[in-house]
Amino acid sequence: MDAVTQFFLMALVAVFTENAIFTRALGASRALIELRSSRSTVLFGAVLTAITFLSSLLCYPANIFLRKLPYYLYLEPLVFVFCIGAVYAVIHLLMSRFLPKAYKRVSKMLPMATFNSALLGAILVALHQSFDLPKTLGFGLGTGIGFTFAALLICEGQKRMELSRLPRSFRGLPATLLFIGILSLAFYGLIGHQLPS
Amino acid sequence: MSKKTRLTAQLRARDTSAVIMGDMIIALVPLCVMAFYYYGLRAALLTLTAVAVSYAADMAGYAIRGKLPNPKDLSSIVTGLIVVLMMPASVPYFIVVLACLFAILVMKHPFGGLGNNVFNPAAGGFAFVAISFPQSVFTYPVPFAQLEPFGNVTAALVESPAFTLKLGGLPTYDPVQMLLGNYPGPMGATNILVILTCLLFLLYRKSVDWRIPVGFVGASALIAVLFPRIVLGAEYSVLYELLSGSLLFGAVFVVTDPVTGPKTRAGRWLYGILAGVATLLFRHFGGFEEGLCFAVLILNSLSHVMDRETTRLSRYLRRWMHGDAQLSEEKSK
Amino acid sequence: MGMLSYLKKNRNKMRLIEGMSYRNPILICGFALAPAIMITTSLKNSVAMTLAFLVVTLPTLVAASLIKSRLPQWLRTVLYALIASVFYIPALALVRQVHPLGVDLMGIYLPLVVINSVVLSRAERFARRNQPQWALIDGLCYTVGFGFVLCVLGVLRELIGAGSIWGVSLGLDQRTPAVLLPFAGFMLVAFLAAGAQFFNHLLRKRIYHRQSEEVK
Repeated sequence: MDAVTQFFLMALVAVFTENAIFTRALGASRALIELRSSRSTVLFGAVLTAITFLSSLLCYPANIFLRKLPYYLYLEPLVFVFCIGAVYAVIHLLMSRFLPKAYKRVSKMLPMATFNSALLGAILVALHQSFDLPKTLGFGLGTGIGFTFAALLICEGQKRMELSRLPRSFRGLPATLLFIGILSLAFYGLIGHQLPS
Repeated sequence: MSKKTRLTAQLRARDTSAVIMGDMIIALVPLCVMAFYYYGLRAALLTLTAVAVSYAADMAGYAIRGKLPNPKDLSSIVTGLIVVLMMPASVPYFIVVLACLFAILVMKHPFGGLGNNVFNPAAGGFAFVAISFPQSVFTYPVPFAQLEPFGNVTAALVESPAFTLKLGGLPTYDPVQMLLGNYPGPMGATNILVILTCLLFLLYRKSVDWRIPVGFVGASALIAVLFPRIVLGAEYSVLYELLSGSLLFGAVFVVTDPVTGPKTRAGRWLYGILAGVATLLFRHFGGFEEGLCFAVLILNSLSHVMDRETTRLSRYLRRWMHGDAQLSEEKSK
Repeated sequence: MGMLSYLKKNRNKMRLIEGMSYRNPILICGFALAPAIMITTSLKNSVAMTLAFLVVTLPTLVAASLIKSRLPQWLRTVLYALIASVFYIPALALVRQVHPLGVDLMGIYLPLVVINSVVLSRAERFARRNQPQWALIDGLCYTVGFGFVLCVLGVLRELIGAGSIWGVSLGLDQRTPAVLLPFAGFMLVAFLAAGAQFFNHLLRKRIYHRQSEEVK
């Protein structure tokens, strides 16, 4: 039961106090800013969460072997990208063969959701801090869910800002970044100190 | 798109007129007077600095955006007053200047200025300096201490009851003195009786919607009763939670901002209640002793969502309550 | 003005150097925001990150231009990321030489340069369909744009937040350590992006305004 508690606790931490976007700026990319509807945001977030979870499952044993090598810092991205790529390839092939309808909706966002700094970032944070397996999986899941919440918030914020008379220089990316920045300011009030990266 | 214009009319607050701003300033002036009474000349000078800097920054903001500055726009004065009244009288001048500049030039004008801002500028300005200089913003002078009017303060500074609560202790101030404002705390937020009077004035003038303060204070009191930080009992918990920090001041001046809050009645209830819950949440688990401004910022981003969802919910409820008769009537038309 | 009419006439040629002129990867495209926001707390970090970015991105783009479209799209993306990870090895060695403490200070953001949006996007959009030398120039321009923004942010944040430049303290009395926090990074990038958009609007207005004058 301890493992399950650790899992859920870590997921909760990753969603709120160590939110991927607001505290670590992971996943703040063009993909985020171009999401226009809540539905596509939730879909993107779901895909991200699923791939993060599966990738953490693969990366954890890979990390154990990696740590034994002398130059592990140099090989770290290669090994993790390989694991993530494997998950991506498997999902790609399975979906295109067995779930064609779902695949059609998801195929455009699959590359952006997989090679996303939130995903690799979550795995790196968890494994740099030497989490054990339940914590790593929980952190990965929580990162995905936290990213989805944050992305929904930002999507709603963009809809709100479309109705304001923004100055022309601020329309689009700058206003969205400022929006995220102010929310990040508010979230810092919850944490009160800087997070390890 | 017609849907867009309909929502635009709903969201752009038409009532941020000079009347509301004038009422707000009238309500804030007694608090400034009390700050002067307790903390002397420095409090008055800090207030003047805040007002001047906010006004100048606002005019500069208009100019930078390429619009004609509107000298009759008093909203920046209200912002400046709110920012400075949430600070201790011992705060250095540059912090007040920084907070006002941040509030006007980062929180307000990049989003389009008056009526268009998504976040409450005063809350943002205070949050910024609270995070940057927590030692200066969260230590307070004792009332009637001699404070230097200019430069930095050398008098002894103490913690406020909010900090004592955060540590799990019991504030030792007499509740009657707390009501009068005779205890260390933010310049404008300690005078509870004056704040309540100002609230009544604003309600009478219909400048604030009663639903927001009532929901806010009610929810805060409920959370204080259910999850007390004081072991003595529920009444003491509610008393000290409500009287410490800038909770009541925020309930009257910060949370009730018409531009950044929801516009529908149900939305305003939801906003007030969630603001109360979030403030107490930040107080319990947050990194600082006062979480009001951070909570307000997060909820500001959800204001229009609250409007939209409560309208949708009430529509479903009405349809469900009035049954299919009305539906079939509508269908036959 | 001769400069503006030159710009207007050579619009297609300007597209080659778009990365460092009107299409800054961070400020206009919104790529690679994570390092720009989080690690620009000092100039040394910014320079080290730019060097790592250079060593990872340029060879990958050249490789992408050599691979062309021979593989299916999903496999291409994985391959680009893998190639970038291979070139991370010399990149990390370079960073270790220039800024040894930076490897710890930059934490997870240094390995993250491997899947940065610039390399994946430019490889797919540009390098795949063009010759290696153009892919190289394109990548170089994007790196210059990236590095420029990172260094501006690094100087600003280090000066205001720590009162130093390149680790050398300037003896400034007033510091705002909050500028080194993530939220300040978001806001600074937002203002710089607004400035870049303003500059772009101005340039476009001048160029096309000039055109209508000439037509008359």
